[in-house]
Amino acid sequence: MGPPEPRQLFEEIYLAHYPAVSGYIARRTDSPDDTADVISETFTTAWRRLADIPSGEEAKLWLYGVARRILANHYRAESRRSALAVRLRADLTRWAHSVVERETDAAREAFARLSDDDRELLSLVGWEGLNTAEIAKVLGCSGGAARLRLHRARKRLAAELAAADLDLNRYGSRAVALAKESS
Amino acid sequence: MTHDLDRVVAAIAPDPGPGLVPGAHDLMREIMDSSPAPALQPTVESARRRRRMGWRIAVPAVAVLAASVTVLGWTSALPVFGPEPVAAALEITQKDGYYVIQVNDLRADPAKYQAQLKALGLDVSLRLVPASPGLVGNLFATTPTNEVVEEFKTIDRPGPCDKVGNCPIGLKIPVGYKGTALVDLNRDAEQGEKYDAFTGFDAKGEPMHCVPYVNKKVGEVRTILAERGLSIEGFATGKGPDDVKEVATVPDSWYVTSGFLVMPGKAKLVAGSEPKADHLVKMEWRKRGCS
Repeated sequence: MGPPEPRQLFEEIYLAHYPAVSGYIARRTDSPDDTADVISETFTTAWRRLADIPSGEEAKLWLYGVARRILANHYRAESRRSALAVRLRADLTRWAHSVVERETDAAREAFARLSDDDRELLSLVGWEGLNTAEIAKVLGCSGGAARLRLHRARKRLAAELAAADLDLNRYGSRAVALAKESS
Repeated sequence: MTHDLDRVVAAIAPDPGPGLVPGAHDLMREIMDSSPAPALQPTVESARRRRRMGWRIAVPAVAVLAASVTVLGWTSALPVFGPEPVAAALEITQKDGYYVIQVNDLRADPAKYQAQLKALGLDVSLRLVPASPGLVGNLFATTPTNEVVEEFKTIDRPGPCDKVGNCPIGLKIPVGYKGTALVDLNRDAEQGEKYDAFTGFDAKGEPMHCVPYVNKKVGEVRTILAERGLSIEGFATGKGPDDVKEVATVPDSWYVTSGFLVMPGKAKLVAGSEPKADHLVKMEWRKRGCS
């Protein structure tokens, strides 16, 4: 059996990782148009750089990294609209209509007050379920640096929660300890 | 060990979206059909760079085009046209370990730029890219394998900037830079020339910026465009999953949700039979800094 054809390989990667990658992007964009644009650019990048995508689960981390970079550029680019993904745009718009706006609570507000970097680190753990070694690959830093940055981000979140006068005991002793450590 | 704080963050995770919807399958095929199949062997240069740079993420040509808006920018501080030929296409000085480069002539033959840069020992090419108004002056520097050249810096023009991104007036390249780089510099397009770099026509610096057109009917938007010297080149429609296409015309009663310029004076509109949700319209309006 020879090596896989590019189209076959891309389909395998796309179908395996689209749900996680589109979720990563949807959680970090404000509108269906933005979500569709960034998904489209991320996977177009994957197609162009197919040979560079690591195999297995590492492909997902590679795609997160690409999406992260595009998100950074995209927001600076304001409202670029891709000609691709017209149907996806319609699907996402219908989905956005169906999402009920959740009540903003103090934890959400505390989280929103953190820096972009802190939010990204904490989100990669809490939303994408990554460990520090995986985070290091997404961010392009060493495992040690990822661990340290994550620790600091957690401390700052704990401090924000404390400042919001939240009952930290609700969230456990670990949060209380971190809040004290950072104050 | 699961941190309690991580549970706090997990509890506020936004909805991850609908997953593999039909549009996602369409997109997969669109991407594969939009450009030739890539080679499956990484290039030697790319493999070497990956070893050196670890997980630094590369940006492909298509994203570069998209992002040409972003990382760097450039606006010639000097007039392009004039009765006297300019002495050199680029004006280059040296300061603080950098070559400080400004464009004297945005329409010079790229070979002239390259020759000047080569004389300094720099393997840097400049390419002029026809771009929509909000992107004119921006530049993007990449390696031959499409990775962003982060060593290059820009000099920004002081004061307010009416373009997407920033308004740099020059580029700084480290003296002794040994890499190979391609700099895409966005220029105005000629009449009838298609843009290779474009953004939404309501982005900063574009003709419809802060013009309230979203959810107006095609007929009304045609009038708004005409007041700005623009005509409609075609439409993209996204009415439903099985009814998506690029078409020459749509009913005048349809709603316009976005659009972009495809060449000077010509716009393509995204329109549908249903308007966009009001809260999305308001959010995007605010995001663009309109009031």
